[in-house]
Amino acid sequence: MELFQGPTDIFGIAIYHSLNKKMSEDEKYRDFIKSLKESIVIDLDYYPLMIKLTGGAPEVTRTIENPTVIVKLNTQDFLNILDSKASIMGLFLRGKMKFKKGFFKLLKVYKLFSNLVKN
Amino acid sequence: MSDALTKYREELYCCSRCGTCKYIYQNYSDSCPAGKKFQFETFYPSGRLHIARGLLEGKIEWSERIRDILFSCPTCASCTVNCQSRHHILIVDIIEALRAEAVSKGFGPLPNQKAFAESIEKEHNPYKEQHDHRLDWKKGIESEVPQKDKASILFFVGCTSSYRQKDLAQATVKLLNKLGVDYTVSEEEWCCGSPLIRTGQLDLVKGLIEHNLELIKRTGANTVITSCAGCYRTLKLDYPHYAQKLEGVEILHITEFLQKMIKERKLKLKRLDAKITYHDPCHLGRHAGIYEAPRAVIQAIPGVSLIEMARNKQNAWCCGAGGGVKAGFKDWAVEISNDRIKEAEETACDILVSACPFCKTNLQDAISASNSKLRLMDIVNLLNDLI
Amino acid sequence: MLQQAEERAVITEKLKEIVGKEWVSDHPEELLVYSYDMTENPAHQPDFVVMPKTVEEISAIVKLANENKIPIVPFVTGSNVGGLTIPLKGGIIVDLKRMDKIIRFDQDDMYVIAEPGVTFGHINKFLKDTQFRYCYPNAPPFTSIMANALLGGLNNLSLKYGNMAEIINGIEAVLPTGEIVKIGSCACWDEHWWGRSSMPDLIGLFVNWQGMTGIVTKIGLQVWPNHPFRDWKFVLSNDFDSTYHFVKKLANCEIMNDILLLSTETVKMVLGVPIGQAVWLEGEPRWATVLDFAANTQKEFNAKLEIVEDAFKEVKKVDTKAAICSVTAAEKMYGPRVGDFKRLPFTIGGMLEYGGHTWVGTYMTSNPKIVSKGVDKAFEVIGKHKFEKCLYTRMMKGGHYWAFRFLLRFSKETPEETERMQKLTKELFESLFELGAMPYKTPAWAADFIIKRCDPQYVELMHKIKKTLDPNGIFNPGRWGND
Repeated sequence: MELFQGPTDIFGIAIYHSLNKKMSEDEKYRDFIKSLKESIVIDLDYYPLMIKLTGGAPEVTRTIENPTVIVKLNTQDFLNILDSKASIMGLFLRGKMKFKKGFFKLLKVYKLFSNLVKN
Repeated sequence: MSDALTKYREELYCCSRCGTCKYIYQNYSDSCPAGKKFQFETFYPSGRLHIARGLLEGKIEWSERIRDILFSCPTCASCTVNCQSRHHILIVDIIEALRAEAVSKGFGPLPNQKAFAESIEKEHNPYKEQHDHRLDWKKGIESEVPQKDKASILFFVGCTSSYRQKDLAQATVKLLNKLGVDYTVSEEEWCCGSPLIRTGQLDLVKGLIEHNLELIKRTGANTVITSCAGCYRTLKLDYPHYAQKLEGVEILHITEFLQKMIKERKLKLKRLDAKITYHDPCHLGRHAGIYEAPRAVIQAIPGVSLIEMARNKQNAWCCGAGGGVKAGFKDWAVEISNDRIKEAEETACDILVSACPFCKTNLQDAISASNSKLRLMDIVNLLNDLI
Repeated sequence: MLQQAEERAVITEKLKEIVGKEWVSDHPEELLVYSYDMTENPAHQPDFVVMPKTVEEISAIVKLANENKIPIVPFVTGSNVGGLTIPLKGGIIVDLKRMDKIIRFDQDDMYVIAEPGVTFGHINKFLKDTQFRYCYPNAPPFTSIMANALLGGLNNLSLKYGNMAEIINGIEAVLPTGEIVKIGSCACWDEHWWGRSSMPDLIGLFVNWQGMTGIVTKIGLQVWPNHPFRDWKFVLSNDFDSTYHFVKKLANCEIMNDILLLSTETVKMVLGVPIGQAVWLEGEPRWATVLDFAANTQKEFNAKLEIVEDAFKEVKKVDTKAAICSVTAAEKMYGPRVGDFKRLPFTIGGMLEYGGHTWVGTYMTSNPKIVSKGVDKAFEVIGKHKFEKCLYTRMMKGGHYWAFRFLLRFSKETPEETERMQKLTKELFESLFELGAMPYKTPAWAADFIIKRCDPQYVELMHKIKKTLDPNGIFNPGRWGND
C-alpha cells in the first residue's frame, strides 16, 4: 500500500507535490490548471522536467515530448524565487529566466508559478 | 489465518515498532490507554501488530493472553493519528479484524462482551433489556414524538439513548420539534451493531445491518440523524462494508445537523454565560473526522466561551468506554475516564460537554467515582435547554 | 534459556514477589515480541520480561538473577539500531519503561537527571517552555535518552559537543552483583550532578558496554540554552570533495550547531519515496547538506550567515550548479515534512515504514581523502547488494571526527530479504572498518569481528573488567567475547 504518488526525481517531487497541494487548497487555481493544455518544460541547470497539463491531473515527468513551452533558469534562481529573494518577473526581465519556446504563454506560466511559490 | 487477516499482511510488515504510536506525536502526552495501563510492548498498537505477525508466521498460537491483549484496546484510533508510517490509517481495522479472528478461534471476546452479543441476538440491544421496552424513552412525551411512517429524516435513537440515557432521546426529539424538522422515529430499530463489530462478534452483524437498512428504506428518509457517536460511525463507515450502500441517504451526527441549522440561521439560542469544554468522542472525532461541527454549535451559544482541554480534537484522550472496554474492563474504563475528568477540571470549565451517550455514561461514572464537582452534559441536552 | 518448566515457574513467582504480578510476563506473546527488533539481527527469546519501578526492585532482580545465573538484558525502547536488546542467551529482559521520571532540572549547571524510561519526546516536552533545549538524533521521539547517551549516539549538537556519551555528567547504577553505585560528582553530593571531574572517571565502565556492566537507573545529562535566532539552510551539490571541504571548513569555524551531509537518496527516503525507488537519477544533485546555526543577536546571526555564504561561494567555484536555500524554500517545495529538522525529535516515516531498518553506523577520521574513499567504497558495496545508498553523515565535535552512516531500510516480510541485508551489513561494515571506521551501537557479529583485530591487551583488559564486575557473566552475555 503505497501512499507516495508522482515522480521520484528530486525536483519532480517538489513540483508535483506543490502543484497538487495548491490545487487541493485553491479552487480557482485548480480550475485554472485544468483549463490549461500545455506541456511546460522547466529546464533547470541540473536537468529539465516537464509539466503536462491536459485538463485532468497534472503529470510531472523527466520525459520531454512535444513541449509547448520551454523555460530555462538555473536552480539557484529557482530556489531564490521560493526564498522570496527573487521574483519570476524580475528574473525574466534580467534575462535569468528565458523562454526558449512559447514566449507568448508568458502570462500563463507566470500565473502557474507565481501562485505555486506563494505561501 | 482468515482472509480478513491475510488481507492486511502487507500492513503487518510495515510496522518497525518505532514507538511513535505510543504518544501524541510531537506533543508527547499519553495517547494510548492500554499502553499507559499495561505498559508491556504487546499492549501498544505496534505490539498487537507484531502479535498478528507472530500468528501469521506460526511462531505463537491463539491464547487467552492474546485475547487479553487484543480486547484491552478501546479502539480509540489515537494510534492511527500518531503513527507516521504508511499503514497508520488501518491500525484499528487490523485490530478489529484480529478480534474477529480471535472470536472465530474461540479466544474472545471477554465474558461480559459475549453477554452483550447474546442480548443483541435475543433482544436487539446489548443492555439485556427487553426489546419491547425499547420505546420506553417516549414515556411522558408520547404526543411529541412523530408517529409518521415516512419522513425526510429518520432519527436513529440507538440503544444507549433508548435504554440508558433516555433523557438524551427525549431532548433530541424536543430539539428536532423546536426546529420544525420533518422527521420520524422508527419503532423497529435494532442495535446498530457497533458493540459487535468492535469486539469481533460478526455473525449477527449482517442481519442487524440489513434490518436497519430496510427500516431506513421504508421510511423513505434521505437523511438519518443520530445523537450517538457510535451509531454514527457504524452507520456511516461500517454499513457500506457489510451491505450495499443505501444510495441517496446521508448519515449525519446531530451536531452536523445543528451546524447546518446554525448556518441557515434556523437556530436561535438563549444566552448562557459559561465556560465550556468539549470532549471529542473517538467515534465522532478520530474515526469520522468530525471536530468542528460540535465546536461550531457550542460557540454559537451567546455568552459561551469554549476552552479546549490540553488533549483535544485528533489528540483527545479516550473516555475509556469504547471497543468493548467498558464491558470487559469495568474498573479500568473508569480509570481511563478519570484522566479525562482531571483534564476537564484543569480547564476550570463550568460544563464538560460531549456528543456521545456512551462517552457520557463513562465520564459520569468517573465523575461519581472521584467525587468530582464537574457538570457533564450532552450537547443535545445543553442546546435543548437554550432554545 | 531455562529448560525446565518448574524452574521457570519458580523464577516467575520470585519475580512477581519483587515487582508485583502484573509486571512480570513469561507468556509466549511477550517473549516473542521482545525477542527481536527492527534490525536484521536474528531473534532470540528471553525467558521472562519484567518491568520494575524502583532501583530497589532492580537490585533485587539482579540478585535473584545472580543466584540462579540467569542472563539479564536491560531494555527501554528496543530501538537501538544494533540489536543490542535482543537477549542472545535468553534470560530476563528488564523493561525499564516504568521508570520515566525527569527527577531534577538544574538550570544553573544546565543538566537534567533522568530515569531510563525518559525518551526524547519526554525531555522535549519537559523543556518546551523553558529557555533550554536538549540534543536530538533523527530518531523517533520514543527513544531513550539514557540508552542513546550510554551507547554514544549522535545528535544535532554533536558538531559542538561530540557524541552523546560526552554529555553525561553522572550516573547511578545497579551493578551486576546488585549493589547500587553513584559515579561522578553525585557520588559525593546528591544535589550536585554537575560533572565527572575530578575523581577517577568510572562512567566509561557503562558507556558503550551495551548493558554488560549493570543497569543504569539515573543519568545526569547536559542541556543547553536556546538561542533566539536560529535558521537552517539546505545546500544541493554534485561534487563531494568541495562539499566535504565546505562542511569541514564550517565545522572548524565553530559557528554551527550541526551539519548533516546526506546523499540525494536519503532526502528522497525522508520525502517518502517508496522502498527501492530512492535512487540517484542521472543529472540530479548528488548531495544535500543541512546547516543548522543559531545566534544570540541578529548581528551575530548575520555574521554567521555571511561566513556560511562566503564558504558556499567556494563550493560554487568548483561546482557551478550548487545551490543554497532556506528551509522555508524547501518546505514550499516539499511540504512541512522536510522542515521536521526544525522540530526534532521526529519520526522519518519513509525510513521506518517497511518493518525493517538497520544501518552500518560508524565514527571515523575526518580526513577528506579517507572519507571520500569510504563513500566510494560504501556505494560500491551497497550497489552490489542492490539496496538504497542512503548516506547520512555528520561532522563531530568541531571536526575532530566524522559520523559516517548508511540508513538501510528493508522489508521483513520474507526471510530472504533479511538475509540479503545481513550480507550487506557484514560486507559494508568490514569494508569501512578497513578504512578506520568504528561502528557505534555495535551489533554482536561486528563486535566479534573487531575483537579479533584490535589490540589483544585491550580485549584482555575489557574481559578482566567485565569479569570483575559481573563474575557470573549474566549481563547481556554473548557480546564482545563476553560469553
